[in-house]
Amino acid sequence: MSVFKNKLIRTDVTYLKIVNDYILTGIGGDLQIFSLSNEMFITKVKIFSGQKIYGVETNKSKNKLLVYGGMYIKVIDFPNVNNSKEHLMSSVKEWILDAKLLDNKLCLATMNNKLLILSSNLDVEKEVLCEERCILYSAFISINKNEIVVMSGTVFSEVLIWWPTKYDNNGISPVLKKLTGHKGVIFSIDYHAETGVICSCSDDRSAILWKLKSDITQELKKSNIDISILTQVHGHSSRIFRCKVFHDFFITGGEDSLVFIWSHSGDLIRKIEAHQGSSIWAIDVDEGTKQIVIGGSNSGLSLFPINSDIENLKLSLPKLEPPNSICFMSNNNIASITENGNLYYYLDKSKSWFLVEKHEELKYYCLMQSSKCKKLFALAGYKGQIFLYKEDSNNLKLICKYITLRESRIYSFHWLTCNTFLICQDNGILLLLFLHKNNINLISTYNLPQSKERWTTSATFFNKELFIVGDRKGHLYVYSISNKEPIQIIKRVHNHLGVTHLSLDKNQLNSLGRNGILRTFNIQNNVVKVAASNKLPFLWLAKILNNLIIGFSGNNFVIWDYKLRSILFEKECGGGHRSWDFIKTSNNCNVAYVKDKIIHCVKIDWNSVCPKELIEGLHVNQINSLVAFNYMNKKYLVSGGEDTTIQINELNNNCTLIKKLHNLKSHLSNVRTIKHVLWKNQKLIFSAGGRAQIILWAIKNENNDCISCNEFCSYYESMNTDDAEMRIMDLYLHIHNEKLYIFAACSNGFIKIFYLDDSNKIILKENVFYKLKCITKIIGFNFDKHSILVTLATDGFLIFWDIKKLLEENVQEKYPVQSIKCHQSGINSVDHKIYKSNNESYVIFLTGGDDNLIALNKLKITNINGLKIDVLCNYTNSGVHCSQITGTKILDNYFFTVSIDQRLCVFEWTSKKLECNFCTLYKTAISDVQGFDFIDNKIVIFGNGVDVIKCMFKSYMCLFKNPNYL
Amino acid sequence: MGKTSKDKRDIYYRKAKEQGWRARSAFKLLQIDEKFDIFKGVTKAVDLCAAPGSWSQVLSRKLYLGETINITEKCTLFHTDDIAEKNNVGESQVDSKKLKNENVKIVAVDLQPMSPLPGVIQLQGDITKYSTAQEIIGHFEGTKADLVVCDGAPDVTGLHCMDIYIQAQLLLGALHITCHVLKVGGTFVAKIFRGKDNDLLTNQLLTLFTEVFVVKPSSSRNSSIEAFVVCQKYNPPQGFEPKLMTPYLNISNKDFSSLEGVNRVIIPFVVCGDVSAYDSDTTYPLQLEGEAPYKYRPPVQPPISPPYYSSKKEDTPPSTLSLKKSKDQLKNIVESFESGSYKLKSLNNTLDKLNNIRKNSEKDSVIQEYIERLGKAVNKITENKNDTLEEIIENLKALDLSKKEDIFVSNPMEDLLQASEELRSSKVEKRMQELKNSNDLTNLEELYNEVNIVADEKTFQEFLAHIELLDTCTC
Ligand SMILES: C[S@@+](CC[C@H](N)C(=O)[O-])C[C@H]1O[C@@H](n2cnc3c(N)ncnc32)[C@H](O)[C@@H]1O
Repeated sequence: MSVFKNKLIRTDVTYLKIVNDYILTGIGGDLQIFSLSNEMFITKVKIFSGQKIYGVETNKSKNKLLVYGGMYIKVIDFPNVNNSKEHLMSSVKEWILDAKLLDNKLCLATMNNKLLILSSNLDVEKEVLCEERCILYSAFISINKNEIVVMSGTVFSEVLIWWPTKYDNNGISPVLKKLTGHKGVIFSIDYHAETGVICSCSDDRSAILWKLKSDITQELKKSNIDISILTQVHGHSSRIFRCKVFHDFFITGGEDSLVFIWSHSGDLIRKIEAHQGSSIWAIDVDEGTKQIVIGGSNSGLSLFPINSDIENLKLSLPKLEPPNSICFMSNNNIASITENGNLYYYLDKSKSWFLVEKHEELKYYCLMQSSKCKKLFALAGYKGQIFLYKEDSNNLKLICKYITLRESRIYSFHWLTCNTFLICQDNGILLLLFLHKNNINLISTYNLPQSKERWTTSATFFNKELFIVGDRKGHLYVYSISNKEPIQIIKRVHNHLGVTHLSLDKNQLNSLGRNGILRTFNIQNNVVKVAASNKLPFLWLAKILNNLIIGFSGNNFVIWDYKLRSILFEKECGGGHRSWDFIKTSNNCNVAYVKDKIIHCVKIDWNSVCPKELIEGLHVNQINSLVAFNYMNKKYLVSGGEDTTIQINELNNNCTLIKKLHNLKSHLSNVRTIKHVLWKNQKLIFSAGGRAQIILWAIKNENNDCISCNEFCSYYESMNTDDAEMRIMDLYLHIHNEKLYIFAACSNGFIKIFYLDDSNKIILKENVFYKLKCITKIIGFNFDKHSILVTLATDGFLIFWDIKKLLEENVQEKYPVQSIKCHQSGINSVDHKIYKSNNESYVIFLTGGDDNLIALNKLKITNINGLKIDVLCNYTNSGVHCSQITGTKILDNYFFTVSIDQRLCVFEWTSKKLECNFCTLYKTAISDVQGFDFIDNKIVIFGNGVDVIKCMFKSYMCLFKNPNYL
Repeated sequence: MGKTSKDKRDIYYRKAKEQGWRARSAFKLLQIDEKFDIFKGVTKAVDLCAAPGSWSQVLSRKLYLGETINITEKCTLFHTDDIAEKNNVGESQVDSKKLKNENVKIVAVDLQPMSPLPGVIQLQGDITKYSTAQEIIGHFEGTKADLVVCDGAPDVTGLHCMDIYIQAQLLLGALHITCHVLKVGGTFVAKIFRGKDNDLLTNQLLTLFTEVFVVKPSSSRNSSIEAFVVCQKYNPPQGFEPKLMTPYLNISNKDFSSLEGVNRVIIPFVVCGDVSAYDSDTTYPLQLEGEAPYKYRPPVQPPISPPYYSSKKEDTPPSTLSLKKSKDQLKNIVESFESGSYKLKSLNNTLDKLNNIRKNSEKDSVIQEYIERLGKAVNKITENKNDTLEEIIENLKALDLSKKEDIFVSNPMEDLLQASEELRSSKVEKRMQELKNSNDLTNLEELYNEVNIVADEKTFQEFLAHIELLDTCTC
């Protein structure tokens, strides 16, 4: 029995298939099964170790599954997948591209353009090679009775059709038809026998539907085989990896994370932005319930309806009067004021407009704003007029009229609550008004600081003493109710196109701008502080509503989901410069806007556009760094990667599930390293990476079930044209004299030394140059009153520095204490351990390099006339890994290593002479392994995803119980 | 990102352009040669997967033109443009009068076409295809090659195990050709991906070659899984028939046990590239010490057009515009503004475009100049603006503001902020209550003015009671 047990894996979803009510999905070597109707996880079964699943097929009676991946196949029972006592498993010599499971045999098409026929106990019975010998990227096996036709997709733009069961000349079968039309690698082929169409897709970013005149075997018998292009579709902005044909439509999914649903004639039915930019390799459709399931390479799995239920209405006003502004009332009713000052009311029930009032005085200028509850709206005019209307059982009633003392233009009108609102008049005069018993009372007036465009664009209460306004220039002002002038000014929160929206969410303030940035603030003791900023993929952000952000991308109206980080709905509307409104109930979502002097109303059945997430996606690309820790009785994974995000996930107690808590997009470039420390009773997280940026975050336990993460400080150096783009590769946090120092390893050969000041700002203290080599890792340790820093670089040396000397002031040149050559080239991972024996202390250094080598060095540190470090003995191994070693850790008298080669190796070692024994090996399905971390007795391997495994071996278990090692 | 950003990130990319190589890969072959002397005595060579052709350049110059190439010096051959400023230190060692080595034979093969090189025969085809192999073999009828190199790599898909498998297939394809054309004792150099289980494959090379090394040139990125096998002394087993190569070599060798133990044969891993050589992970300053002043150079061989370029329909525009395209677009926009022929309707699109351009080329001087011109044009329009234009113009002006500044926080009422809640509200309320109780109306009014509340006390209290509820709807 293996000493490792898989607990959880999150990596590329490489295959999806819907069988009856089951969604079968391949994630790593695990087959996971979900219920389609309940949208719930049912079970999972481990099929391969260290090998991803690339396909699943059922037999006709649907009681068996053939699962394949790479060169491996396995046959299991279905649906009781865990029941199968003995799995049949085998490996063929070639990569399997497609497979079919028949009752007494199975057939496989391989990457070498070969068809293999296997007996039911998986012995190869027959091999037929296509006469065209080349590598394939895709193949499809079509079976009709006993005839097998293979369609194979080549590297060079052709689909080859051959018929191995009919034409077999000593194991070689001729190509009967070549389909030409693509201009690149063919990534996927599908054939729908019933409608007689073949679908192929390619890296030329197009998909082609090919029409057969008759059934495939019929057609191939003809002397003049007629297969012609029915339609070719374009729309993907990158390679198309998968396509599938169904009775009424076909689907394509690609590297651009988009899935398109097309009609057979090539019309677009639906475009879905599925997994935050990660490639799509797995898609399937349930034709019965009309749902599509999409898997991403970020490990996300979601379900969408095929057809989005969207109704587009044009609501022209009587006599085609041009509307000025509109707003939604309750029950989808709409109020509109026209350019002539006529107020109309639209009743959704009767689908008709009613003239409510003629407001001569609002003819040329009128602001219209509805309250949050949609029961009230205000009209505000050029001469300080305010009219408040209330909707009452399908009637609009004017409840009050008010004219400000200044009788001047009302620039903006913001509802703060249902009964209070703020208006802005000339010279930045703000009026806080209170509606009480159908009377408007002036509570107080305020001054907006001087600026060229001196008016507010958004406002919200924070608490009963403070309210916050955003202005046309992108600044925020915090006012206390009792003070005319702002008590706090936060400049340049957004660009000079202004703050578009402010809203309060629990204790956080969110602000939106037209620069594509969502900023979040925390308010502590009435001081507003930036907590995080988030860059969205479109510029004009207009409104935030729970998880949704509404905005405009070019000429399109966009509804974007913050959690999924993807667009759920998009529609051409002409852009953001128009009157529009948006309401959402639990099942519906309505948008209204004025375009070409007509009111357009879009009614969206929310369930039809909103995905059901079966598995939450993780990082879009490779995870470069991950730390796992326990904090306040919970387990957390904090990870950062190539996709520039930092994600905080909570791991459940037995490590079988993760829940995403935060997805923070603040880094300008990729994240290379994450370090955490408990400092002054705060859990601090440092993340660093490209563009020489370091961000400091603080994790706090808000109320027992939710932690918040705030951005305390972001450090980066703005570059000038001639500077090279430096990356921070690693960090070491060092506490000395009640001060927290941060040592950063830089790709330009520098060590940057920072400290944290009292306001949690990262301050650069000094730059120390090592040499023109990329420093890949940095660690430190205390040894007999000495603090020693160790750097490792692409030159393969371990470099020792005396931290005391590094921190000394006024020293011009700083040199290392000692250097020890350990590797031929770059060192990617390091761990150390100090141990005592016979009253002597030693340090053991474990390093893993680019050169496949694991090196263990036993060092003695002495201090006679300065620090001196000697290697007493060493151990090296270059055999267990065959690729870069990216993670090493020492745990008592064992050590662990991981490598890009997807192996985790465990060694036992003795301290005296460094005798090492290889103990065991685990193969992970995670590619591009970048390292691992321990949490309790679990190991979290990360790279292109995460693999959480448990050590089952007794002596390891004891290890983990000893808290000193964790 | 400006055009120099790739130069900044990648020293070898920059050096390749300086020295006139079509791709940075040239350095990998040169560094392998530095260590293993693979060109010694070679007159006939095959370059598999050669495009855009930097390895073929190396072969052409070393074998056909008989040059010695010093990696660290500047060379001036094959430059397609202005690179010819020779500096004295790196005097080119080409002797133009030297006779070309006419009995040299170099065959280069790739899926992609590539521009011609002196002394190189070019074939276009898929090396994993049997027919291509036949064609290459045809060129070596009666003779044998001394060296076969293969730098082939698939367009990676992101599914690593598949990419690694395809890479292994390319290697097998190359090896199949090699076994037909390589003389006994000859050398084979090929790219491999160091990933899952690649040792199973490389180990088997020992059945065909006496010496096998896995080599990582320092010009290959540390983080990349790419490496090379250098196989020397071709020595096929007795009676070896290249056609039946597969039984000898297979990546699915099932006998894992022999390969997983610590005692199995381990192919030595060698890092090459002089100690002083650059490594491609380090960030180097653009201006390196002791070198001529840095100057941006365009790529020697522009990348071959990807398949989708020729796709019939317009694709959705790529998210990052090429610099050239950006400039053209910007130029059009600027000119339309200067001449007043801009269209209001397309402005929103224009704005997004501009923003994209700016994002991609913040530091480009030409773009900066255009933006300035645009700013002026916009200002001019602003002078006789009408109301509808107002906001649009505002957007355009936005683009002019290129300075990026950080958020700046100030607390003009620091003391007030620091003060406890009591001071701000309760205390005032308390005082009000006192004054009210004592019916001190003048002072009460003053206090109101002082705290700037204009509503009468009753309304204010009601207001306070209302906002206590904040977000709950009271309608
Ligand atoms: C890294 S480039 C080679 C660079 C080249 N050595 C140089 O120095 O310019 C890899 C090349 O492999 C080619 N290639 C990939 N698969 C191939 C195949 N099956 N047959 C032939 N060439 C292939 C690609 O077209 C690409 O040009």
